[in-house]
Amino acid sequence: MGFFGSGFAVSRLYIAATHLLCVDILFFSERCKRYHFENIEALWYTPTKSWHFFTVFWALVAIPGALGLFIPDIAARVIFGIWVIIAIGFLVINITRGPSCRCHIRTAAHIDELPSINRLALAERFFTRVGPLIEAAQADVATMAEAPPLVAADGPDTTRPAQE
Amino acid sequence: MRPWRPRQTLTCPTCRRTIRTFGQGSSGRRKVACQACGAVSQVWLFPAFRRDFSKVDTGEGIIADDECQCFFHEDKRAVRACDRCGRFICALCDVVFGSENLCPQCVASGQKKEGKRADNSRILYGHLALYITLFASLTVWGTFVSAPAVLVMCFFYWKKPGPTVGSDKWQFVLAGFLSLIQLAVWVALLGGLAFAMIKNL
Repeated sequence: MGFFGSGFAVSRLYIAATHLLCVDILFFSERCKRYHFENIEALWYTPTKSWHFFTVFWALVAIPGALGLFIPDIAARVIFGIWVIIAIGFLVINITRGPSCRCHIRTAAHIDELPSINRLALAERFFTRVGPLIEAAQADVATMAEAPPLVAADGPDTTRPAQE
Repeated sequence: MRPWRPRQTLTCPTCRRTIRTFGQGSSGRRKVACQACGAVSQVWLFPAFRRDFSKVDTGEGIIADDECQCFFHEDKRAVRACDRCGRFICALCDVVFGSENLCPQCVASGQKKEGKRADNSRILYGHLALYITLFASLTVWGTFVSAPAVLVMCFFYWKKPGPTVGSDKWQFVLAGFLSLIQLAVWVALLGGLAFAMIKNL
């Protein structure tokens, strides 16, 4: 689920039975990271303005190309036609994919961005699909969390770790 | 002394500052606004967010003289022996690695020896072969060296592990095919040149 491609960098997210698998490929080097459901502490996404930026950007790129179509030379028209088709193609793809966002995941050890979850609609689908799986995997943790903290009858709180 | 509490904080993706709006009973889904930049995030907190790490076993101290001590911590009681080296280890040093209980030193040495197995990154030789072929094609002259090199690479790295998901065999095939064409063109060019030189003599 989820795909992010930018030139030679590609990021994909897969949902397995017990974990999420994030695969990043940069040129010819692959890195993969697994997030087991029982270790995921939080997921969150924040809307960004890059969707608006790229909508304006591709529209601005398309306008000079469209003006170039009025040149009488046939070769120039073909070149500007290709220019316009490419720009409008990217514009349509950007608009249809919807508003952008950045999604993050937090475990006990890491806070990582999930580059493949970069659209609000996709993030919403991702939450709907993965959230219940994570909550089911952490059912035992939930019951432990509800229990009151262990505090000595008199004296300081004993829940403080020994290292600190 | 302040009692230790779970770290109920998140980082704002926009301004990188800490969002701290989570109290008790904070599991579930909600909208949270960053106090610094005002960016509103949709947050889903899971029960593990409130996991209490203070309950981690850090090892018990030695009480009696006849108790075994940890190899790495003289003042802590050994709870088991390392499954590889046999050293006595305390609860703090006990690293559960698959079905084995290892000491930190064996884990470190195991990562060095079996680094390839434990590593989470790898080179995709199919991608590499295709990149070399395509980039060398841009230079034209580069194909004289790259074509045989890619063919050798395709032959020797065919059985190397590919991507974690899917396969990169088609990239080997495509790179090999393109390299064969490049090699054939070079052979034809050089052969024709040699033939012309012999004919002129």
